[in-house]
Amino acid sequence: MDILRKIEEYATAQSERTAFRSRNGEISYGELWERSGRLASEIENLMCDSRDPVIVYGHKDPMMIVCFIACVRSGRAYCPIDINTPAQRIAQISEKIGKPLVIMAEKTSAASEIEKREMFTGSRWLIGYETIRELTKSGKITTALSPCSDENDFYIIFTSGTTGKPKGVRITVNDLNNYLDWAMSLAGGIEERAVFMNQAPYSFDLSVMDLYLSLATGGTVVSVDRLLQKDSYRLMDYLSGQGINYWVSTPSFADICLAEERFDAAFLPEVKAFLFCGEVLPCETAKRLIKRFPDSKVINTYGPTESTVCVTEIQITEEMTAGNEPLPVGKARPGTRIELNPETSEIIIIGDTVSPGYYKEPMLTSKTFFFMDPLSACESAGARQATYSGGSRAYRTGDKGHFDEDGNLYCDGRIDNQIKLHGYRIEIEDIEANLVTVYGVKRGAVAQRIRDGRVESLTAFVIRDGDLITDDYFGRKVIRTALREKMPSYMVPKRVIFLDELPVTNNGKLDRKRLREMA
Amino acid sequence: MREKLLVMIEELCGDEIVREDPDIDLLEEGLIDSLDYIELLLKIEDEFGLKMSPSELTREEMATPNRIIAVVEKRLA
Repeated sequence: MDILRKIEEYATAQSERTAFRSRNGEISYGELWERSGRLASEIENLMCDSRDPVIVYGHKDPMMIVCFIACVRSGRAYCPIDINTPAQRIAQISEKIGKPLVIMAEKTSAASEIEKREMFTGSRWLIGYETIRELTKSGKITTALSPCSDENDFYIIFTSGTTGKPKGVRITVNDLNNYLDWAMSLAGGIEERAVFMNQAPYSFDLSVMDLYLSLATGGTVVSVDRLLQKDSYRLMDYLSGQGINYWVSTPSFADICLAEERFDAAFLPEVKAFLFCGEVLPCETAKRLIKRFPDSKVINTYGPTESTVCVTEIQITEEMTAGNEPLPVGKARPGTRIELNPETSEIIIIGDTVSPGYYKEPMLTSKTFFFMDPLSACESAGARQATYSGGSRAYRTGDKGHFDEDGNLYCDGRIDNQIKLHGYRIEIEDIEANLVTVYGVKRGAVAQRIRDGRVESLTAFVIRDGDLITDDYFGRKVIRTALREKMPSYMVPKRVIFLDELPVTNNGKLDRKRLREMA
Repeated sequence: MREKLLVMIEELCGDEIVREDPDIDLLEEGLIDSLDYIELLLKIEDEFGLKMSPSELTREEMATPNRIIAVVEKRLA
């Protein structure tokens, strides 16, 4: 698979066909190719010798996709930042890249554009939305382009890091192409020219599944923006007319839709499959979907951002959901081998979609990424080597797992303090590092509240610094509000509990188990 | 029933203020998000057998604990 070439081919073969649609507008394959070419030329002129990644800031505008493809065609990776990212996170990412080129791919009012521009004060260049529209419409291609290839980074997605600063996962052209070769076989084979529902923001790699699977098969992405996701009534109306064939979302989003009684096969008759990734698929969600959509497939997958979206697949059947047991995540794709650390049961992913590491973080990278000699790896893995076919990058996921007698993998939680909440990956230490910087907080810890084996919400435990903040609703509100300015809202603990001291174990370490019970 | 609903709302919002001030605007104060809201409707269905689709209710109708209680009482009457 060569994804850029594929898009170019579709741009010729079906130039009029819609590649992407959202409430902000739509764009055809022909336009996508032409406009991204013009922008790529402009990026090349601006950046000259620098091959630094380009920040694309936006949400669900068709220009987002144009910008992504333009960056890659200019020979530079893109780093997507969603508009719902708080200013402090943006500054951290911007700083890590170091004087980046920033492209604003979301229509905003003039006032808000000025405000947004201020968030990127450290940028080398900043191109506004209207300029992008103009450039991509009438700009001239003045330079020869040398697109990203092979081991060049294709995109860099920043995720929560334990130090309180986000880390950028590098995904190469090879990683993405290898992933797509397999992903096209998901759900028994993705049909050409289908319609994909996109729910995830582009700063979350679940979106890679729908966007690039669709572009690789000449399909159409129907992208649902955040406001629409919050308005069930309009959401249902919007979805019903789109002819959706492949539904790609977190299980949490399916739960929201299942709360609507009309959400069933009669309402969305064209759905061939629901593709889930990003968090544990609860048995209950799968059961209800199978009941409401008896002719659609429910597909569960597993994989961290560090190995390109996902690396396992299984179709969930009615029988699997009968016992209300945790669901399997399936078997590894060809090209990936999964091993378990015999001591910790940690899942280790070895294969040709594993990232080369974190952007400009050699220390962090060497902690979880390593190289595995394919031969010795096969020996130690015993019977589970059948699917391995080359590549030797390996990643320690931090997820615990086990195999059943049929060779299906199950995920059993984490070996560290990373959690998944509504599909978002969060390092508890990241929240804690930010919590202690809040005015009036002396010390703090965060724990997850677990219901039915699934993280339900987060609780912050706070030791106040004297009486700088009050021991009541206003104090709790001050903390929540301060955290919302420092981190994405999904990371902000719902509960705040004031304590005189934090519980410790016999060894004097923070007693996280006790905290989880108190949460 | 008022008590049961308050327990549910407190559980979802994670703050006892909903009990101390049942006229507090849950959305404005950032005490509830869309996922919590869906969860609340599901719990009401489980507990009282009252089916409510998110799309048939306005945000205003369900803005405060007191208003939520009023809606449920009215529909069950």
